[in-house]
Amino acid sequence: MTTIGEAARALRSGGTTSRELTEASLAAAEALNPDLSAFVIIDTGGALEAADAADEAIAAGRDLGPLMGVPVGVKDIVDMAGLPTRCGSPAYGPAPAATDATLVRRLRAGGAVIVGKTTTHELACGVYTPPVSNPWDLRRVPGGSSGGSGAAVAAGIVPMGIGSDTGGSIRIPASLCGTVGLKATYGRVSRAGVAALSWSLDHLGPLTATVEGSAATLEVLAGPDPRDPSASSRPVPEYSRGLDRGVDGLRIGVLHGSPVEPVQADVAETFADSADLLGRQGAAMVGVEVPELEHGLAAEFGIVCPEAAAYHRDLVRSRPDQIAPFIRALLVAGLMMEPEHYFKALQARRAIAGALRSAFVDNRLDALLTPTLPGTAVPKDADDLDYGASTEPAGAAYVRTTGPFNLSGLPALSVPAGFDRDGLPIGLQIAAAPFDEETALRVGACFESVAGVSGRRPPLSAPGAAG
Amino acid sequence: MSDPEARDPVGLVAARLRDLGLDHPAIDPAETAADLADRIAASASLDALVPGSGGPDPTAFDPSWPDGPPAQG
Repeated sequence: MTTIGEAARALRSGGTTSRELTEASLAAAEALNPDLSAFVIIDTGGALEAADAADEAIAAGRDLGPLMGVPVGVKDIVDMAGLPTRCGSPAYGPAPAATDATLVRRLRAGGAVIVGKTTTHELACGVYTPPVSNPWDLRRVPGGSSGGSGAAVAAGIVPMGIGSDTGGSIRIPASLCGTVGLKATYGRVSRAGVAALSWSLDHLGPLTATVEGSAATLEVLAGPDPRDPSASSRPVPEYSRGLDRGVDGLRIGVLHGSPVEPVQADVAETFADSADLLGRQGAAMVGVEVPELEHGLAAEFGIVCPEAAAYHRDLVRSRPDQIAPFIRALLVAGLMMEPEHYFKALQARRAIAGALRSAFVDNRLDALLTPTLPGTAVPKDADDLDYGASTEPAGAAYVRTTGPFNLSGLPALSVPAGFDRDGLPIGLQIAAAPFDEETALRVGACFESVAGVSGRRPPLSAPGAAG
Repeated sequence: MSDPEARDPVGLVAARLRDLGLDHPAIDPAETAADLADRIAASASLDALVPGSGGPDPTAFDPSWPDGPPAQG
């Protein structure tokens, strides 16, 4: 599978057809899914029908946008009319959704070809996404909760998979699978028709092979929606324009201290090298500490717990045996804890968001860098991330560097930055000011163009997979 | 205090589970009590950021930054 940009150019020049791209994507999905489990549904009929419609539009000279004719995947918490939304849970039945989520409507209106629904961690609440395997090492986790989309994009089955992100669930699999992942500003992408985990922290966005692909996808997805009152009515920029402007003249913060430390040694080295590389491209690099972020995990779980419990209250009362123990405990606690704990977490979120704002304003930052994650993909049977001298539960470790940008709502992009000594991907996280996705994408595109890590493909990937 | 259940934390949790319609074999009161203690401790750690009473309106979350100086807390 090519990238979104390559596919769009080839489709418009007559170099390929959407049917050809879609048949290749479907063949790769069928061939690789027994090993990867990236898809829970492969919609061959629907995909070929959409591909033929895209080819007709192209032949008629219509341009529906950057995703026209491009095969994509959609996480299985997003409603697609006629298909079930199973949310990775045995508690969700086979009844098909009646209507499309707004996000799906926008993909379809933009001519995208949805080849299937990608696997999610149960109820979008977890960072392992069993039984999905990481294409770089099938014994390891792909991350979560959008692990199916991460594995599908990394393996080159599709150039874009939709994910959701409450504490990092787009950026975690992007980092562990070596893809780009974009969580835009809270409210930038409508959540109507998507199962919630935590209303005030949930975001939707793409995992892609390239930064250009994330920019193109956000152009299609972003915008107001009467079905979602949190969806912003701010104008949607042409995110794909200006990706080649470089970083000369930008001030980029480099986050140190909590919650960045501890990290694995290879991650620390790659992060330092990444900051140096951007500095050599002309950016002014500024060391930054935000001590308030030490409390990010407590605030994150203090909000997720009661909001998820409220969303799933009937399920946890009627069929708690159908919920995994970790998630069940969270939901039960959410129903039992006093409201003061929830409101304290919400107030802490305000303090954390204010501290991040101060870091940007006081240091005149255009963007802020962190390692996307403190470590690389753990084995499927491992509970902890290993730092050598210490360990940390992976469920906390994988969220502590990403969660602050859910709490603050700031846009955050993960781009491939390197590999550890075992050949596993390492990600670089680039955050920006509210609704300034353009800067995050601009920095990401510059980094991608000079870092030289995007050309490597995992051992398990589709023929012709994009670099 | 004649009810022994009311004298221990696990008993209190078991009673609360019943009150909330959560008394199910899959939900263990002892495990729930331990989990709740951990979560309440985590919540207490947020006292470092949040005043004991008062403080900012927590319900008005908006990711955008207004003009003017950064928000305090």
